[in-house]
Amino acid sequence: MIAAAAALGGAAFVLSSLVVSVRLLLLARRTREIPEFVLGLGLLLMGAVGYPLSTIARLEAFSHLQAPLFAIHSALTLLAQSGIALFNWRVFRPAEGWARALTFGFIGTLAAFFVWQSLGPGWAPFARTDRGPWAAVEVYTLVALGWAGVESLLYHLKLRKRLALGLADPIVADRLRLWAVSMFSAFACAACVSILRIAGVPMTAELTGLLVAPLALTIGCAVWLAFLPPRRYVERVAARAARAA
Amino acid sequence: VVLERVLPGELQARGCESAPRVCSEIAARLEALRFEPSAADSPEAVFARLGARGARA
Repeated sequence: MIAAAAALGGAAFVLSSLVVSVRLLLLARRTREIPEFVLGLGLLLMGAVGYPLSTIARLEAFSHLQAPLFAIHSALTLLAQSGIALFNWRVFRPAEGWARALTFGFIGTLAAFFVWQSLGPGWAPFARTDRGPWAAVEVYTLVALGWAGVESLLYHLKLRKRLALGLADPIVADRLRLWAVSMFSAFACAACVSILRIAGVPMTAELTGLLVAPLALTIGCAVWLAFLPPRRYVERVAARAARAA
Repeated sequence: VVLERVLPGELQARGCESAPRVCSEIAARLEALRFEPSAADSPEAVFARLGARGARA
């Protein structure tokens, strides 16, 4: 039962990330705009490719490939988290110096940790112990996801106030709420994994099913409803806003 | 919403007799105006573009 829940949550996250990221990258090809490109890239590398790769890398059957698989997964994480940080800066704080400094500092130092791990201890010790310079990625992931969640929630609350005066699009306000839900769920997921690792609790299939699967399912559904909303869902959001006006 | 529900009552409370007519006139004139859409790179515009049904691949 728990294994089935874990598989369902993981599959929903991977499928949703894959479909939505491809759609966003195709949109970016047409518009030539940065936000859809970095968000599409982030979802593709983090959800559609990175999540299954990290699962495979931890399987006993692939233990002889652990070091290269961890190195590839870490490179994907570097690109994906950089994409999320760039999205936060470009969309929510494009004119603010601190956001620009935070983004470039984030990308530069995370890349430095990747190079340090690659040229220093290498990926085999990291794959065995989860320790080394690259362990800092946990903090970076929480910063990128938490920042994304806070910014989208704040903007959603701003749009809700405008909505009451008929000065905002209810679908866009709902999309920001869904993006906040997905980012806070991803933050909670990453935080749970980090806390368990620090506490020395091994990530068993049962723990994955109980903790990670519901959050992964939430992320998958929220991302799908935000960027590929079914017509009925859009109509329901619009009708609810019209009733509230 | 402001012109239909809030302003008429506020104007009437201040002695304006034809408040509903004035407000509906203002609303009609505002509707006829074309405003610039919000900046293309505002969060609102970006999120509108990211999930627009017409942009579906």
